[in-house]
Amino acid sequence: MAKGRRDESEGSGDLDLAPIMNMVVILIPLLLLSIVFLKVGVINITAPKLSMGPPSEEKPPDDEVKLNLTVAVNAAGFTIGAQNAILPPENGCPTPGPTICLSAQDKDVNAMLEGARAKLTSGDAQGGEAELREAMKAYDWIALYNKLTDIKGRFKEETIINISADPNIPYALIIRMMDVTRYKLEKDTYKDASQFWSAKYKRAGKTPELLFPDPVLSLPKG
Amino acid sequence: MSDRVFNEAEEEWIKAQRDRARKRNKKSRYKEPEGGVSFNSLMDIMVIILVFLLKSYGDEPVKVIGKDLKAPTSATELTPEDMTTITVSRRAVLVNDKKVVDIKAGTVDASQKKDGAAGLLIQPLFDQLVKATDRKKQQVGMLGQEYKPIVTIIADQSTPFRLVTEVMYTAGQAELSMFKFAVVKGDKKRFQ
Repeated sequence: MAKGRRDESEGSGDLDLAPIMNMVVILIPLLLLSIVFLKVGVINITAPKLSMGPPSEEKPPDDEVKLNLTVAVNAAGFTIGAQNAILPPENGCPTPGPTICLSAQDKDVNAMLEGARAKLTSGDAQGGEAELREAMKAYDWIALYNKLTDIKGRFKEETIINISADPNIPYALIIRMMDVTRYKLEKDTYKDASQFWSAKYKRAGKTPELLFPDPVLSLPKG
Repeated sequence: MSDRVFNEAEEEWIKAQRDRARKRNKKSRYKEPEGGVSFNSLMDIMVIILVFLLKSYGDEPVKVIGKDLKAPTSATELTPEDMTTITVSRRAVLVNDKKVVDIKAGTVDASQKKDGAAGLLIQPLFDQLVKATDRKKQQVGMLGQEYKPIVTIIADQSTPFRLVTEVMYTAGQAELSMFKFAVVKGDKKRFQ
């Protein structure tokens, strides 16, 4: 009897894979769920400067005309400054006011931004993001692009753009502004929104043609 | 030697015993293929998938989405590097995933700033960045590489501009002069 029992136990020498299989089958869906398949990118930025800082040590020669392009964004639109002068409001925009006003002037962007922030803080991520997107849609990105390509035509070597904003302007709006001002698109001017957003970059070889790819953030002091 | 003669029944029994023993020996030497499903190939596939998933889980140098954090989408073409990171979520500022200061309603408390509410330098962030920079310099020095004062800022899309500039100003004071904003890569068409 004893011999027979030993023989049986020796006969089942195979490794039992079922528990390992169970573990693996549980681990795979768990990892698949926790991994977010997103491509992460970066934007190179130059350090912020205060508008009331000391004068630059390097003085340009007198005959050289410095562009010193600045785009300031607030709840009313974009104010563009070049050569130390503020550009007047475009046609159809209220005077006095920003150079490029909102495309939907009846919208209260400040209230929308505050609403979006409140929703995001309270945990309503979807509602907050939707409101933030709506607020960003109120800006006239096409007019900004058209204006900047016009300026680039006159200052071909210039790559720096100073970006300034009201303190409560969300980070997403600044990133969008950098996207619009970074590269040239297929055409220099656009009218239609769907054409503008689906346009590809104008490429010279593999690299896109530059518009103003070096953003410098600046904060109005006070 | 015994000269005992077995009768027919006994001989039959002995034969049956020998046959059984022979069969048993045969079984132990040559394993016959079993009729059940072979798990080996399935296990191989599973293990490969598991290793791939574990690798891609820990591979990303920066995490741009989490609780209280969603970086904005951008059409940028540059890729991130593994450098000192400052994360600005909706509730806190973190340096290399270590919480340094709280955020309430998009602002850092005035008591945490060097010059009060109007100040730009966030003191706890500055202290932590100085520590992180020193550690990074040591690491890079030991590896014999050149130190670059690069910092990657991962900020939530709703972060106010004022807070972003405060963080950048503080990093600048901690000798970090090259900034990179981490974003989620996306197509421009989605901005419409």
